[in-house]
Amino acid sequence: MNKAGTLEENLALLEQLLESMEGQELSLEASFEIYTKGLQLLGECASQIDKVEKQVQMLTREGGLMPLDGEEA
Amino acid sequence: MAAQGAYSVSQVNQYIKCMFQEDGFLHSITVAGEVGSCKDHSSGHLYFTLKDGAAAIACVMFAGSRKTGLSFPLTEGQSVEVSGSIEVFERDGRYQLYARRIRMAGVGLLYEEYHRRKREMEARGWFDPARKKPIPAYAQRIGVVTAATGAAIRDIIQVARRRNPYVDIWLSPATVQGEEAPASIAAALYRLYRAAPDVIILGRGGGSLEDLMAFNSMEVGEAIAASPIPLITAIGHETDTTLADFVSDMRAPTPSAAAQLAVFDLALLEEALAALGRSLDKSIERRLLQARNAMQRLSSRWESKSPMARLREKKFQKMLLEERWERAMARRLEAAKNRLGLLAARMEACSPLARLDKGYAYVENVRGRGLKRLEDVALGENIFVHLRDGRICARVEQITPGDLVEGCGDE
Repeated sequence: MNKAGTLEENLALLEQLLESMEGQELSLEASFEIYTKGLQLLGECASQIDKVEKQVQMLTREGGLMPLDGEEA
Repeated sequence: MAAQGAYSVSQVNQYIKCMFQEDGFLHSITVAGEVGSCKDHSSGHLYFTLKDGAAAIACVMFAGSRKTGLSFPLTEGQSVEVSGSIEVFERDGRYQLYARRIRMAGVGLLYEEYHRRKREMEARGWFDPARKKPIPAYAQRIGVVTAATGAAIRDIIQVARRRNPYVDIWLSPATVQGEEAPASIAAALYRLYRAAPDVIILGRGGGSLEDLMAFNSMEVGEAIAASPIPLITAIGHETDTTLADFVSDMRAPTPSAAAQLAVFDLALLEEALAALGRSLDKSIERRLLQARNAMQRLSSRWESKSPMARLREKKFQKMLLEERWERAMARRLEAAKNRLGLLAARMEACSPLARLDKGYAYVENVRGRGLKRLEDVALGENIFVHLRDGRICARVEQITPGDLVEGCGDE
């Protein structure tokens, strides 16, 4: 889906970045770098929740996908 | 045998025993029935009755046959199929079934088969906890294998819609009941593996043991064991654990519960993301503040060492010196002034004019010399007598030496 990592990996990475930000011995440049990276990751996470309402689809015998009839049950 | 006369009991029983033995049908027979009373003798022999609604037959299984012929504890009420021979026990004059093998029948057979397969699957390592895959917390594509028109898929869709309408649900339909169910389920699973969703739910809405038999098949077990994708089973009720449940990565009691495990709650994630963003902001703000403070401290230290600061310091010192200087000067002047005042006062006190005030007079000759002694003046000479408010011109009539007037002209 995206090469940067799954939503899970991104979230774990964010946690990690925050932890290193909270460490004292970080240079200002490094913490800025981490901050921008964190913002980027946040954006990525948000975009990974692809907010398009999804249809339920049926997997055909040939491996294709087609909308499932009467799905609005 | 003689036509008349009586036979002994032994003879009769022996005769009947021979009749049984001559009938090959009775040598090897399988009888189905329900286990009646059952006695496990201390000798290791097993005595029981086999019955149906109308009749019963005594059975015995010798200790030697039990090892190979019986794989489960025999108890009253079980439906079994007993294979063996029917022979006559001469001593009591009755016939009984000598069991060589006892198998479960009907539902019992299913249980037996279930346990046999369970042992086999376990032996193949399909239940190994080490091969269980963790269920992803944020799956976005959910594969579902179940009947296309059942309660299971409807329940899953409903839960998914509520928690997160933005996840994909791919239904890979399967026949979950009947002869073709195992093959259909396995094929539906393999189709999903190729489509590669993030997580798979294999479900159906419960049923009797016979109904769920497909989920106990080797075929389905093998397909689950082969899954490259984390798989949740949601089959039947809490009480029925199918073999598929043992093989899968996680077991859910119902399809709805499986959907809750597979579909992450969007609102919770969004809240978590917002919180992460806030802590990120907070930590960079704190870091910036730290840096700013450090800079402030450094710059004020630096400031104190700069040439400008030194110049200011020198100027200040100079100002202090100037002040001291001025104060010293002023004190000096004051002292001089005081002294002058004193002197002036003393001089004033000494001034001849001041004495004139006191009634004294100042006498000088015409040449303007002050007279101090008699010798300074001659008879008949004019002198001037100065008083406070003017002078008198007088003539020296007489000169008389003496002390009387001494001390009056001196300072």
